[in-house]
Amino acid sequence: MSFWFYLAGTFAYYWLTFLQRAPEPEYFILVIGFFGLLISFFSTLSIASLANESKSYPLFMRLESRIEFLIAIIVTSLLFTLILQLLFSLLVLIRNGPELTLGRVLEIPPLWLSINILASVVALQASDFISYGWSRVCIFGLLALALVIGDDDGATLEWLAEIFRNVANQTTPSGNAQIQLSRALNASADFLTGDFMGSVGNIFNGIFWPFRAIIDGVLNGYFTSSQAWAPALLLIFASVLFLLAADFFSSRDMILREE
Amino acid sequence: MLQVNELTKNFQSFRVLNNVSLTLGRNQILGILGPNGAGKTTLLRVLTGILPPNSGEILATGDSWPKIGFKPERLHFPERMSVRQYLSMMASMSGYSRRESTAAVDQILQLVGMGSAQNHKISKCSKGMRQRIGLAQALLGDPELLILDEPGDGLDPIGQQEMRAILQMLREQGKTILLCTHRLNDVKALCTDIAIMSRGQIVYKSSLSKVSEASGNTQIICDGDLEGIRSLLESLNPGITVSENTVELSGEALPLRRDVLRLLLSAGHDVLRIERPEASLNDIYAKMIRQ
Repeated sequence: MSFWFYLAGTFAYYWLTFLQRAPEPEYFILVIGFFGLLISFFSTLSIASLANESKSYPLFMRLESRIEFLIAIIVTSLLFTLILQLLFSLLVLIRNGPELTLGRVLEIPPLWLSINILASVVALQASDFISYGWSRVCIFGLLALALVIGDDDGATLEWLAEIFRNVANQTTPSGNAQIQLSRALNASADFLTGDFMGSVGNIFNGIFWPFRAIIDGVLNGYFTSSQAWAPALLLIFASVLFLLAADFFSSRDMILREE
Repeated sequence: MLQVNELTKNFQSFRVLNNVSLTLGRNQILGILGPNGAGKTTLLRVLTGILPPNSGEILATGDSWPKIGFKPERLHFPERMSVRQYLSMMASMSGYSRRESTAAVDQILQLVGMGSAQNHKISKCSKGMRQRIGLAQALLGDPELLILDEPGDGLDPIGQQEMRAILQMLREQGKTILLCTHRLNDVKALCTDIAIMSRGQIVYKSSLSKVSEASGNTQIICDGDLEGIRSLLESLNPGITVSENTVELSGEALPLRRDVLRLLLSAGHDVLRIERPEASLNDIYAKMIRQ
């Protein structure tokens, strides 16, 4: 059932992104790369959900190490994503695909694979095997916050600060409470655009830098020496997240879902 | 084979296992008895590594950690697979090559009596057949220790009998089995040792032979009413009770059997018979659980 759902999703995505136009190589690489990110994220969640059923007990019992269970989920998801990505690419190339030079073709595996692996490991953090209580809300909340604070030029924070200032200006200073509110809003706006948030923004900015580097590299048609490190950096992020997941999983209760 | 020392397991603030210690020797068949919620399944899950304990240790007494085959209480399978496909998958997971897997699956199917149903879809299998599949998958890989959680659950009387016969066969083959059940008859028929669990603790441990040897009360049954010498008999020891034509000796009063007999004969009563009923497993179980 899930397989057909993913297949239908693939065709729908193809129809939305490629059917109307003859793509350029950059568009081909980025759009299918993003497709890989989506599929590996959601297929990891689906496979983890399947593995979380009590029918897995006999399989689990036969593993040398618990971590093999997580690796099996990620490898299955990556293979599944790869199959769909290849199917998608073939579909595009057969119909009215871009003219890819050998150099551009060689760019594709490290970009797609690193993104897929990271997406899969991030999805694992959201699965029942790793998440605990509010942990998934915290992780994805932090990611969302990082995305807001760490955007390239701080535009989101500027926009938020502007809203605060506008509200503060519209507050009639007729009473003590209103004056206090107005001051608090102005202080918040100053805080959002201040040096501290700028530094925090720079740190968070670094988290998303590899993605921007990949997009820039692909769009420019070449990678600078620092941009070329982006896929490796994504793999390092993935490794750290996987180690955290494995450490938590190795000591948690394996109470699988009874159907 | 396994030495379990002071195992404790909590689910949040609720203590499910409380300082559980036991020893499982080679070729031993240990039956773990207990009411629902006693912690039996949790203990098995801790032993199989599914649940890590909060404290305590599980040690292998042999050279290496024994190969474990596990049949969980609730059986769920990939329903679309056939029995054979499922067991072949489990065999390959157990490290068999394709050829070895075919031979091993054939052998196990025969052992659990599923040879004729090997191509049935699991979804079409009856509850009894599913129990056999559960046992079969546990046996794949030739485990040294079999951990079976309620193997007779949901089976009709004939199915239970057949399951018992399979387990007896495994016992004869020298398998070490940890059997978790609330069926006393299964324990009596199969086990060499028993442990009774209640509220997360092991409240009774013994070999089954000792349970059957354990003497209960001695009853001396006479030909007539003993009301006349009742107070005299009961004054000998608090462990002596008299009712109608029967004198019952228990605990410390048991060695006074000869004195009681002498008294009865001297009072002119004929002794019809002396009975020494064995303490049944049911009695011990009921007593331990009530405590």
